[in-house]
Formats: sequence, structure tokens, C-alpha cells
Amino acid sequence: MRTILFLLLNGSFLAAANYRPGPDAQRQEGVPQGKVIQGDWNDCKAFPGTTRSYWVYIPAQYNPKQPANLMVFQDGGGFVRENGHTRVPIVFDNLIHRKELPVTIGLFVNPGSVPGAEPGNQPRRNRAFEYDTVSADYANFIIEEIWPVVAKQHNLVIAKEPAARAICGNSSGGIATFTAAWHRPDFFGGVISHIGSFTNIRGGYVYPALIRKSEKKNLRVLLQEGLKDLDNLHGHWPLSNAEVSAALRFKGYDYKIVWGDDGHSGRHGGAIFPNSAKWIFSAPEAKNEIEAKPKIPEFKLTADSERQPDVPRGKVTQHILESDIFKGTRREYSVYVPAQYRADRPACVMVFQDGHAYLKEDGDVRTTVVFDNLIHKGEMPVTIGIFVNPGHRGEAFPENRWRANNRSFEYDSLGDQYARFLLEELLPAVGEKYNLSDKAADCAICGASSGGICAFTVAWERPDAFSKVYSMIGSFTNIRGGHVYPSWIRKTARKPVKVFLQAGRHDLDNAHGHWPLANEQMVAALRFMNWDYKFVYGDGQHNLKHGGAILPDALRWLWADHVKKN
Amino acid sequence: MMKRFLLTGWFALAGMLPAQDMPLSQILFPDEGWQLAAFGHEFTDAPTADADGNFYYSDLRSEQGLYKIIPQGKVVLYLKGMTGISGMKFGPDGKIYACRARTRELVSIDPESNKMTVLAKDVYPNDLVVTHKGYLYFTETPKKQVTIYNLKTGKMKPADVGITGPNGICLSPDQGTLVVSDFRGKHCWAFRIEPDGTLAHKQPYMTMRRKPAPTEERTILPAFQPSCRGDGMITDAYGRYYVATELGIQYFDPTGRISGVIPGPIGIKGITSVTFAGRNLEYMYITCFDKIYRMKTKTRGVLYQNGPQAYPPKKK
Repeated sequence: MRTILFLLLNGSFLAAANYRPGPDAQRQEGVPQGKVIQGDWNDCKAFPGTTRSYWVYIPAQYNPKQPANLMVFQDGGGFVRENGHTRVPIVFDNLIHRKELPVTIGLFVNPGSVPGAEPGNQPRRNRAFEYDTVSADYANFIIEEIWPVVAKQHNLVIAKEPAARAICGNSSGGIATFTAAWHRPDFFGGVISHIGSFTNIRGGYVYPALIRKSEKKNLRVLLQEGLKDLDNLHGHWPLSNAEVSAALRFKGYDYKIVWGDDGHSGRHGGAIFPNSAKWIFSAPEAKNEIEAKPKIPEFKLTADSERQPDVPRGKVTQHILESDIFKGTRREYSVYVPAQYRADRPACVMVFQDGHAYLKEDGDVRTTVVFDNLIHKGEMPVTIGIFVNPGHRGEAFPENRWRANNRSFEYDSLGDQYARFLLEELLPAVGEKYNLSDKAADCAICGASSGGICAFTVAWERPDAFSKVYSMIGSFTNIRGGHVYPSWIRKTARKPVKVFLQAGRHDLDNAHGHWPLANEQMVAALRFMNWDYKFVYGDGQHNLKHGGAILPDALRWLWADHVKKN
Repeated sequence: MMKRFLLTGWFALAGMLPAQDMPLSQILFPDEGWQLAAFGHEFTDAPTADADGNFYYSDLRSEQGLYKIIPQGKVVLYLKGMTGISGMKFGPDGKIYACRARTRELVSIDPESNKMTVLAKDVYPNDLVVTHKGYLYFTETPKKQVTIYNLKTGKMKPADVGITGPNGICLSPDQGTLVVSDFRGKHCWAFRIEPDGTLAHKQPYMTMRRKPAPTEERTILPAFQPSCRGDGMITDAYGRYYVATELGIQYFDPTGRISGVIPGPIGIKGITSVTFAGRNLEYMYITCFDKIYRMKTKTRGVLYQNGPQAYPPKKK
């Protein structure tokens, strides 16, 4: 629950669980009623073969000489009904009459479907294709195909400014609103998304990444989301809406997120709709948010990270490797061999990315000290540690070893190239001198930040070679596409890999993503697919202090299958 | 219960039910994995099944003929001399219809007499399906064409042109929708089968997951390969569409949403095709070049030769 509460920091929270249409959604005496006219759209050019119904609402106050506002609704049939979840015609009648909303035309469009050619054949339902696809196609269908015809037929004139045109929908219709405005900000200026499916139904998980790295668009966005919303194969709705919200905030958008405690239902969005409609067309207000300085706890090292008397010490040797897979790069690596190593027994292996950061005996992690202690106590197997720096092109290695110039390409890229580097170049080089096990059960991999996602990528690509992962403050963000993993995990047969994740609530929030939410998405996906994982969520920042302090715990958990129980 | 009613309620009253989610947990048993079913071949393909639970396949490079795996798992030589076949299905008449890629022929085989009849020559047949009406659709990958051969009239004509590498081909259980995988592109394409057999309302309905294509320069979103080599296809009784790809078996729900990826066994050279066989059609079989694997699943396949079937099946 603590993780979910984090979501609420970015939004206002409505505690009432019993969402129902309010007085603005009920017929009031003396309020003139607009017209609702139904039509069918059966000769669709954008989505050939589809048929659908649509409705247009024309306010009683509409005068063709004065351009009106426009709001377009997806799953229109649900929004136009006078006993439905939102009851838009009643709300508009009331608000327009009271002059709380500009004269606004409503266009309510249902998703299409291709009917069966013969009796008994199922239709080809087109809702997901139209709403969940990340492209301009659906927006163009509304803007270029259906609206001009409807406008002409009913003599409707709308204001030219995008700010006078909004688009609203629930669930997949919610992400469809964002997609439409994102691709056609020249037409739509306002987005109202209820329980929006910013998940991987058809790739919609990309929006937080897109928002952060694209030029800011002139959009006003209202998101409504429920704490009990869906967590299924397509994604985690509350976390995904939190990610969209965090991206809009990072980029300085004029946006608002309204949290409720409902599930995947239109009730909450419907209950707040009168206010949402007023807000989406209101004048922008200045925001003045003051961020509280986070309190960062001290992460204390345990005795397992301190030198203990009478514990034999392993030996560390230093090497340099040139790579063919990453052509033109060189890198330093160190090999730790425990005192208990015997050449006639294959040793377990653990590879550390950004190896330099793990070796310092007075540093945050102190891996060799921890290895000495845990191996001595029999709490982890005899394990050779390989501490490898990222590759670098050029004569001298940079003073700051984190700055090796091939680091991001090697660590943040998706795909199997870094795994191949380990399995075809680094491990064979170490294996020339030492007897390394090649069983996946005996091989672990660890890293922090980009090294953390790198460790996961290696096991994801080669679960036959690595079965244990420790990611500290992992960059499951869009440095180079790593935000895809939660979506892939949910729709991929579970891999035989144990994953220990450590993250901090005060980790980075930058152009690549929001580290805490990205790690929460990873954990939610691993949980959904029943992976063998452990998550430690602290109040730390983007450094190794917390991950280092709990290294002994992480190692004990990862290597538990190698330790005889007393 | 109340919540479910309300949720479906606002869709239902608007004339649309939410699509049924079809996660991997509906397909995979937690403790079942790929089992080796046959080995020692060169290029296996053309998997298909019959109502007795038998699984059939071909080795494109073998001079022997077609093979059969009986439900107990034993491999036997099925039809001697029927070589060079890259795709086959039983027709509603009990004959086998096959793409004989090597000789560029579309053929029918009478399994009783083991006699082959050439239906069409000088074609580039890769894989095929046969509907209950006797419409045979086959993919001609190099021609970027799907061709219809009418078994009743013997007439043949192009049914679609333009998919970059049409390869796998399958039917919805009600046989109203035809789907074709693209070996060189990212989509599986859906068509409506018209009463006269023509294909209408072509749509890139399913988008396959593809391998990453890392670039040194950072881009706003990461790059992926243009294709994942979409190959053989099959449907199950629930209307899911399965396609063999270089990432494993990918499947889609009836509304075109990708719902799962099932990687093949470690160390295989690739997967050319997929089908369901076994007494209850509960085994997913994959043809992997020299080897065949199968895995017991929670779902069950559908046999097109048995005619159109409503889906999802009613619970017994």
C-alpha cells in the first residue's frame, strides 16, 4: 500500500467511494434542452468496412453566427445516454444555461466494427485498433472524415482556437483522447481522460516517454484515475496514469489528475464531469507548487560489510579487455577470487557492471568484504566476482569511470549484444584462468542505474546463462527504451530468473523518465506474472548508499538455493 | 458481482461489451514446458492435425515423405514419397491439400490411396487453409500475393496483392475472417471472407512484437527491427491467433490485441510454424528446423476441416 500512496503525491484525492451523477446531471426545471440527433456512419474511409453509430448534441442556445465550442466523446453511446454514467446532454444543458460553460456542441462517436459477411460470423471489432493504436489515424478520422460532414449537415460552426475544442473518453477511449490531441494539437486543445488505458494494449505505454522527450504541445489535460483500477496483461492502470501525470508535470503542462478509489468504471469520471468540462474550457491559472525538500535517511552498513577478524580474504586482480562486439572499445575489469576457491570445482559467478564502484573497501558497497564474510559463513556459495567497467573508445580511460563513453550504448540498449559480450568475450577471458560454472543457476549479475537495467537485460535475453539479478536504482526508463520491460514482462511467458530490485522514492525524475515509478512498474509486472522477485523500496536518491547497505541481504536472498539449510 | 454488472453495464447499454482479456495464464500451465517430440530432421514445416489427435508434418529437405506423431508421442512415417511440402491442411472432404514449394505445385493428396493430384502448376505456394465452402487460400510469398483456388470450380485468381511477405495463413473458428502473417513486415493482416470467396476490408489488425535494433544515437523512442519473421499461423477454439516468429510464438486475442509471447526452447534454430494437436487438441506443436517440440496447454485448437465453429466454445 505504501507504494500506491506514492501516487497520490501528484494529485488531489477524492475519498468518497460512492460516485454518482450530481444535480448538474439531472434535469432541472426551466432549463432549455438541446437537440440530440443520431446518425450512422457506414461508409468509413479511415477504417474500411466498419459501421458505427454517432450522435450530435446541439445546445438550445446555439447560434450559427457565433462559433461554438466542441467536445468529442469516444464510446459516444455511453456518454450521450440520459441515464448513463456521465449524461452529457443534461450536464451541458444545465451548465450552458447557467453560463458556466460556453455554448458547446457534443459529438459522440462509437467505435466501429466490421460486421460478419454471413449469418453466424462474428464481427471484427475495431475498438482497440481505433482507440489503442498510437497514431494520427483515429484523430484524422474524426477531424477529416466525420466532423466536416456532421458540421455541414447541421450547419455547425466551431471556434477556430484548439482551446475551444476538447475530446473526452473512458478507458481505451481515454487514451484515444490523448492520442488524438497529441497527434492533432492543431485541432484539439483539451483532453479529458477517465481511467485512461495508457498501457500496452497496443503500445500506449510509450506516452510518458514521448511526453518527456517531445517538444511541449499546447494541450490542457485532465486525467481521472482510480486506485483500484486494472492490473492485467496490458498493464497497471494506476501506475501508468501516475507516469503520464509525472511526465506532464515534468514538462510543465497545464494538467490536473483527479484520483479516486474506484476501479475500472465510468462512475467517478462521470460524477466529476461537470467540473471537468468547466475546467477544460476555463482560462489557465498560474500554478505555484512548492516542493518540499526530501528527508533522506542514513543507510547504515551492517557487520557483513565490515572487515571481520579471522575471515580469509579473497584476491583481486586487474585486467584490460578489448572487445570485438563493441568494436574499438577497451575496458578495465577486476577479478575477485575467494580464498575458498578450488580449481577442481566450478565456481559460481557474479558479474558487476560499473565494477569500479563496487570494489572500494571504504565505499558504499564493499562487495569484496561482503563476499569474504558471506562465503566464510556459508551464506553464499564460493563465487568469483567479475567487476567490469563499461567500454571506452580513446587512449586513456576517463578520470571519472562512470563517464566511459560507450557506457550508455552498452548498458541502456535493449537486445542481446551486451549479453553476447559477456558470454562470448568476458567470461571466456576469465575462464581461461579460473574454473567458472556455466550453469544458469550458478550465475548472477548486478548493476546500478544503467548497470541495473543492463543486468536485467542480460538475464532477459539469456535466462539460460544468468538466473539471478540484483538491480540497484535501475534505469527502467527511456534512456534507450528500457521503459518497455514492464509491458514485455506482462505478455511474455515467465522466465526462470530471480530478481532483487532496490529503488528510492527520491530517485531521478528527468527527460528519460521517473525512476521510482519505473521501478514500481517493474515490480507490478513481475508480481502479475508471478516471477520470483524481491523489492526493497527506500527513501534514497540516485546513488549506491541504500543498495550497498543491503547487498548482504540481496546476496543471501539470491543465493538461497545454494545454501544448505540447517 | 454488482461491480461487474455495472462495469459491463455501461458498455453493454452502449452496444459494446469490453473485449475479453486473454493473458498467458489462460494458456500455460505453471509446470509445463516444451518437450522434444521429434528430432533428426532438416527443415520441418507444414504442421497440421486430425480429429483423432494425430499430428502431421513434413521435412522439406527429406526424400521420405510426410510424418505423423500419434497422441502417445510416437513418430511414424505417414505418406511415403509426399516430399517437398511447406504447408498442408485437411480439407472438408478428407483429402490433404498441400503447398509443394519445391516443385512449385499446389496439390491434393488422397491419404487412402497415397495418390497426389496436381491442382495448379507454376505457382509459389508457401502455406494454405481450406474453408468449409471449398475455398483454398494459399500464400505466394515472392509474389506478395494471397491466391484463392476454388475446389469446386478449379478456378484460381489473386485474392490479395501487396503484403510484403505473405507467409502464414489461418481462419477464425467461424471461418469468416482470414489472417495472413507478413514475414517481412510487422503486421498480421485480417480480411473478411465474402460469400463468393473474395477477400474484403484488409486491415493491419495485429502488430507483432519485434526485436530491438539498437542505434548509437539516442532517439526519442527506441528502434525495433522492421519484422520478426512472422511465419506459420493457427487459431484456437477461443479465437486466438497464433503466429510463429523469431521471438517465439506470439498470440493475439480476437480483437487483434497482442496478448502473449511464448519463447521457444533454448538452443533452437528458429520456429517455422505452430499448430494444435492431441486428443483434445491441447498440445501446441512447433516445427523448429531439425526438431519438433510440443507443450501441453490449457486451451485447445480448432480443426478447420470440421467446419465453422462458434467461439468462444460454450463451457461443458
